[in-house]
Amino acid sequence: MPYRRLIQLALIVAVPKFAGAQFTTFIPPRTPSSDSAKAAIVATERAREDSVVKAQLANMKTWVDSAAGLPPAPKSPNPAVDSIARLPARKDSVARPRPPADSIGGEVMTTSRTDTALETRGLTAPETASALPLVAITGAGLLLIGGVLLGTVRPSRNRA
Amino acid sequence: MRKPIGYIFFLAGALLLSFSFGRYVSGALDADRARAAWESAEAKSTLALARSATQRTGAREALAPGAPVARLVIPRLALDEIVLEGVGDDQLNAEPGHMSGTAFPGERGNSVVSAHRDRHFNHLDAISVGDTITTESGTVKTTWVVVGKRIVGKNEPALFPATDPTLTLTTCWPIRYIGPAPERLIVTAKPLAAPANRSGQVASTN
Repeated sequence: MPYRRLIQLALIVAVPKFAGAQFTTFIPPRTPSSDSAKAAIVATERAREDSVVKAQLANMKTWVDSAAGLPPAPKSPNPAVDSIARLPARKDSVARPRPPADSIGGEVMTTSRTDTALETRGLTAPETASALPLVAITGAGLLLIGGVLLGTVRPSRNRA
Repeated sequence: MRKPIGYIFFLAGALLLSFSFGRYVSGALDADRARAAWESAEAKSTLALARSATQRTGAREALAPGAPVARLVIPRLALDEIVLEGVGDDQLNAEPGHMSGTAFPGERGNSVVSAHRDRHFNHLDAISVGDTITTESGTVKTTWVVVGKRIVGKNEPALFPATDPTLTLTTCWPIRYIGPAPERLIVTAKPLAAPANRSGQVASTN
């Protein structure tokens, strides 16, 4: 009876196909509690109890630390270590705005002011008055007077 | 009585003369040392200044007083001196001094260089508007043209911040004055051409 087997085979293949055409997939509506805080609390409680999720969270923390460039936490039995102490000195992650630059004849120069010592109301010029000339002239004068007084230097006299 | 007074005068005069002579000699020796340091440590200073220029933060790392920071050439005065950091007695006794906190020659801002009127700037009164000045500071060689020359009182504000590269030379006035000078000579210069690097080529940012 090969034709009976063929009919059975055709039914096996065709009936589910026709039946599937008659039924659509049933998607139950989402319960309103799924987005609520209660659901989140329940999920958190489950995650605490679920060792697998706990391990994933621990790995996530390690991954975040490694991505941030932090050294791994010491695996000591006493975890009471100042976590700030192992933070490496890093630059501020907030990018500092670069001062605007402009060009003078091809040389890019910053507009940030470098003459910070000068104030807008102005400064007086540095004290460049040297006392050395006065000291030298005074010394020469004293030397001359001393020489005259000692008689080693005779002032010229006009004998008219 | 005459001889003891003569000895006192003679001794005091000799001391004052030897003191001033010693200061001049020590200044000359310091100037020689500064030039040698400028020439030997040229690469280091070039790197340091280049680094400070690239930081472009506006805040400058403080240089040690007495460190050579630039070379100042004024052809009109036949002046070729090394500029030291600071305008203290020791720096000005040796070389012209760069006022700390002001811009380096060639950088944006007002760069103030001062010197004694009886030493390196003893002929600064001969400079005229239109004369050229050359400075070398780090990698930047700048040619300046004198655009102003004025005399102000010693207590009168004369140094102001600038938004563009400016070179200001100051010394006491009158130049031939004996004793504390009551005024200051202020010479202002602006870049004549674009700042060039040490090979004489215009610096670029490529």
